[in-house]
Amino acid sequence: MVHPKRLLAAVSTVLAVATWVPPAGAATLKDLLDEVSGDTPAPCLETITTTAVPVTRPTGRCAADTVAQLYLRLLRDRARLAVVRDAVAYHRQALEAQRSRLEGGGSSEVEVNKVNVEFHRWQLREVEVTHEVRSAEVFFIHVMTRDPTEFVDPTPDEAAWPADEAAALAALDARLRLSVDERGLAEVALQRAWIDYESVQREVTLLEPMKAFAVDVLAASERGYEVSQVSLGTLLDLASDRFELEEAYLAAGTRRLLLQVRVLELLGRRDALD
Amino acid sequence: MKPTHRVFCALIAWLGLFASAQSAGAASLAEVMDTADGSAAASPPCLALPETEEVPATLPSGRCAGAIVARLYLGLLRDRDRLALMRDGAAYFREWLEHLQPRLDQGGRSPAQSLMAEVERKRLQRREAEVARELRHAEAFFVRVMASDPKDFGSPAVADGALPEDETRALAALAARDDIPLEERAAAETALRLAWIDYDSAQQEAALLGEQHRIARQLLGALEQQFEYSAASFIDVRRALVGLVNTEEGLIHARVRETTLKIRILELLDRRNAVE
Repeated sequence: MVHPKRLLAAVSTVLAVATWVPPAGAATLKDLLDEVSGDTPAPCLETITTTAVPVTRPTGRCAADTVAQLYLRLLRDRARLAVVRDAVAYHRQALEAQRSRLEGGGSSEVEVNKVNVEFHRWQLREVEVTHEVRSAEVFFIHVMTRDPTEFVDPTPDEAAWPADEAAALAALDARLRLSVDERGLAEVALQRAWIDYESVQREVTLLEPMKAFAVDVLAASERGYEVSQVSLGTLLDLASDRFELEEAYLAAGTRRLLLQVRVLELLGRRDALD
Repeated sequence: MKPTHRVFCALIAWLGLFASAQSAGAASLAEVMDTADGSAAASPPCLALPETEEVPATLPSGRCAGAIVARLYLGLLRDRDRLALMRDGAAYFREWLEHLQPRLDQGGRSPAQSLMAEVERKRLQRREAEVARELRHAEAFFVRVMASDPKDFGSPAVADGALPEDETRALAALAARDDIPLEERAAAETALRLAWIDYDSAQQEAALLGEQHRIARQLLGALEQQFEYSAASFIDVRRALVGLVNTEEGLIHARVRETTLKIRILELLDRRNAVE
């Protein structure tokens, strides 16, 4: 027989799960950051490298940075999922085409298997990225009680962005709330964030044309393959490049946004995220 | 010569047995977890495992001690199989070198082929050294800190029916636990949801990798044959073998992750007795 206390606990949990509805309305990054750290937070002086999804609401002065990372990572992974699904569809189509060729005597089992291995590789990637998205959504729905379908990419106000590192350091210096002890640490944190920002900015600039070229090269190679000027191995390599560069571009764009948020947080300029 | 089939058969047989194998020694996973937990065995569940898989220098303490030790135990079994895989892969390339040598001597093959085989062999030996280091650290932990003999470790089995059929049933089973403080219920529920998502994903990965592995083996076998009559290059064979090793390593990881998560879910539901 089930103990009444256990039964009550089970019923209340099931009811809570069944009846809970996330609050309506857009959930901007700024809203969430305000919620976890208040309007005038002390800056986070550590480097946040969260990989696991927390089971409780983050607390302390780095709570905002942790939530920002989870928020932006979720948006990135949703975009990645779309790219990976395109890759799965592309390879599914290539596999079907190769099987048709095999039936017509224009291919071999080896060629079919080469495409099939790639098809499975992208299916695996889809499972991995879906897993990331689902885990982050659990955090926002059940821990932050927010609807992640309402999340939007922040667009930092350009006027609030420092012109260069010196201007950023000067703005930090003007922050009155920092104690003398923390000023040095905050400067190091800001310099690190700025170096990372410049580096990722360069990465984004390089990746943008690369991903466009990869699309064109793949299209040209597909035509070359049809007239036996390009091997299947080369074609599969180029298809990988095309989708992986797209993923890398998304990742770099998210890292850039995250570093912008980090710099603005260090400067106490969260309002610029509105 | 077809070294592929011989080299990779033993490991595949083990992978198939992973879920059902059982250690006969005195160092089962459940026993080791009980030792780590000590008197804290009946405490509320571990809500968040530390992110790092670093081997600790002392006996883990607190409510996550059992879970930390379980991860190390299963990681050790995983690394043993990874080590065997790297050794098999390196042996494969050594056999290729021996296979190619007479043809090289007769001028029938390019010396670049044997150099490529040698480079791949060294690459796998490097990975072997890395895995061996991780394995030695884990073994030292169990010998020195846990006073148990890792030679006796075996793959755990889970009693039939102990794992809930789906997430909803798992959440209901968690709700029925009356030893979780009210203020921790929400966190425990989130931990279970996340563990279930991880488990679901590990299962899907293992299934896909199993299929990918079958295709990769088939591909390598066919390319080896084609190589004999110069219809495939050694670059093709090398690439297929590297792909096979990577897929197999991924499969080892996925299977162990699946078991680790099954145990994590059982721990959250206070069902350690189901781990045999």
